[in-house]
Amino acid sequence: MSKNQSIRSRLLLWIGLPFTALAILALLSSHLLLSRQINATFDDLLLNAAQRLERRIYTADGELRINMHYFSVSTLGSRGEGKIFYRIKESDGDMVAGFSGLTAPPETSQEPIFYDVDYAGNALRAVALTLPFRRGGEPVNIEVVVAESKEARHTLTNDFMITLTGLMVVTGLLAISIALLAIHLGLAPLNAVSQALRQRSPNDLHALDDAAPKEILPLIQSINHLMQRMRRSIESTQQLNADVSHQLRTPISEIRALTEMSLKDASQSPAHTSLREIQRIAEHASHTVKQLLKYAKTRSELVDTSHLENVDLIAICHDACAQTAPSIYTKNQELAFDQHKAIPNILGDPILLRWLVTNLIENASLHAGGDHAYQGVITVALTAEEDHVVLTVSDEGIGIDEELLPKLTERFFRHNRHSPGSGLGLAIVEQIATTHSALLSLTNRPQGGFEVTVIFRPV
Amino acid sequence: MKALVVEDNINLANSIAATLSEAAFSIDVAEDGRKALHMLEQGGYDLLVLDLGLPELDGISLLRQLRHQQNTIPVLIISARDSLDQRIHGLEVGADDYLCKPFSLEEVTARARALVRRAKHFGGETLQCGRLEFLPDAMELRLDGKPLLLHRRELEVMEYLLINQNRLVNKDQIIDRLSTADESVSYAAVETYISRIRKKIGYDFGLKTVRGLGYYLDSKGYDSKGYESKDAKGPAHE
Repeated sequence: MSKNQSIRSRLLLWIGLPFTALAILALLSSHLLLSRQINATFDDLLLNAAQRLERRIYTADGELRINMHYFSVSTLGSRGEGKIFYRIKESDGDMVAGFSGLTAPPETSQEPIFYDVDYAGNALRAVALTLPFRRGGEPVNIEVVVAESKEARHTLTNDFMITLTGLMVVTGLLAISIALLAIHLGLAPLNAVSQALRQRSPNDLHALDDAAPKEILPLIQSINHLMQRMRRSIESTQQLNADVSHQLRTPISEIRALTEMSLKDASQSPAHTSLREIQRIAEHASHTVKQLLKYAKTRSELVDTSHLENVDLIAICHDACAQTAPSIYTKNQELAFDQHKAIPNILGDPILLRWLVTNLIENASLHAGGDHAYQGVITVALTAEEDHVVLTVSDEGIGIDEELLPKLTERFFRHNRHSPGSGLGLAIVEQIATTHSALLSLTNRPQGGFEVTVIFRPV
Repeated sequence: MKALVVEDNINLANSIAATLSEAAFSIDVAEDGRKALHMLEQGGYDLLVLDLGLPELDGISLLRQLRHQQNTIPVLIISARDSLDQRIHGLEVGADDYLCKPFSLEEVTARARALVRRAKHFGGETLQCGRLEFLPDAMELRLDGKPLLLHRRELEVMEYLLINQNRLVNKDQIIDRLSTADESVSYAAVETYISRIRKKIGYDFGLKTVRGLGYYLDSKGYDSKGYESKDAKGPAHE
């Protein structure tokens, strides 16, 4: 039996096969017993008929006669169906009555002899009796043979067997149904576990409910241990990431501060160019350090979704716009916010959601222009559809190559190596969207520019 | 204006001190919390720039003691601590603004100025933005030194925008500012005031309408007196 055969079919096979064999065995033995019993009963009746026939024999004028007046075929036969043949004959003498062609028993005995015989194309069961008689004071032996066709016996046996087989089949079907139900009920806890695993998000590393039968408890516990180990391993990686970024904060601050100070004094010396480069690199490093930390903190496996609260996305967007406005307007870009309908609250983490919106605005601000600095509007919009809330952040820039769209949320993917981004902005956005079970899509707008859509489900 | 910089990292302390000096602050530096508390008790500071990770007395405890003593000095926190909880914690304890390392010195200057501007305008200090100058005591707006004829409401709007220059100001905030117990102001009224102000000032002084959000008064590029630095950056996005 192959290892991956389903448990259901294994059980069904191992319940079904022995039961079928048993049923066949039971039918065969029933048939044997039944035909023996029926034969015995019919033989008794046949003997009875033969003995009754014997009583009709009398002597008249030194001749043996038979009084057939009281004897009829119907009283002989057991059920009236089938044919009756008889033969009455003196031993070593003349026929008295009946069919002379009816074969005598293979041997003679004082006891009745039962035997099978063929007569006129009929398979018959016969009984032969030898009895002493007196004819005119002289003793003679009279042989009486009564034969009956076997149809009645066969019909009765068949009737019984048909009924019995029918009962067996019904019982068998019932048993299979019960077995199926039992298998289904027995496998229910396993199905519940696999369904629970199937339904959870790929990032959900929380323990499974271990209220389960003791047979599958070890399985659940193993899964839970595995989840815990994965969680710990992710946590320690993220903690390392956080520690590294944290430890880099102060030295990078120092580098930035000292470079800024030095740049104020320097004239057009050659060192000035290097200082500008150092300043640019330090700014990039500080941006990356901040984004790495956010990335570490937004890993959806680590966000405890049970602490999400009712969040007003309008307020979140207002905050994010207010936070980013100074850097946007410094770059001669503009911000706009569109929201015309009432927006239902969503279940979320306000801090993460603010990061999501600010990251999208900053992403547009940095990349909308491609190789050139973007000078245009960045629009944040909220709309409420039937059963979801849609957040879009769009720009009127040059958009992006269609084939690069799927790569944008990859960590450290930067479609423009010369732009100052950290390569983490959209990866962070994706993580936050995942945490909120929101749908993230990145598209080029038909009228030009790049657009990010995040679809949330309201509370 | 006098500011106390409390920072135990010498490089950062010196750089912040130097850059704030250029922005017309006179600076004292303290390396630990206890010393800083002692200096603050002497009084006379207009601004406190406070690092949170300090020897002796940590920044949060220092701030808590300060507020406990009813000291309302504007406080700008600078910290390498990363969690947002920390930031909220700092603001709850009574910080006015929070800057997360790594930051640029320009950010420090911009935040320091904004904090002092907001604290000082109650004291009647003059507000400036490019060629514009606002005198709170006289309720007068001057362009290149010459008074402009503005309605009282328009002056109030202008004062609020100047206090909050380089920040996004929404219409609700302006309405809150203008409304009194007997008189409420509508969105339409705010829009009317803004359009009249634009007409009366007569040149693009950096006021942007932000669709769906409000207004943004940008001081950059309209700087005639070197008061606002050229690339003033707004709040960091932590």
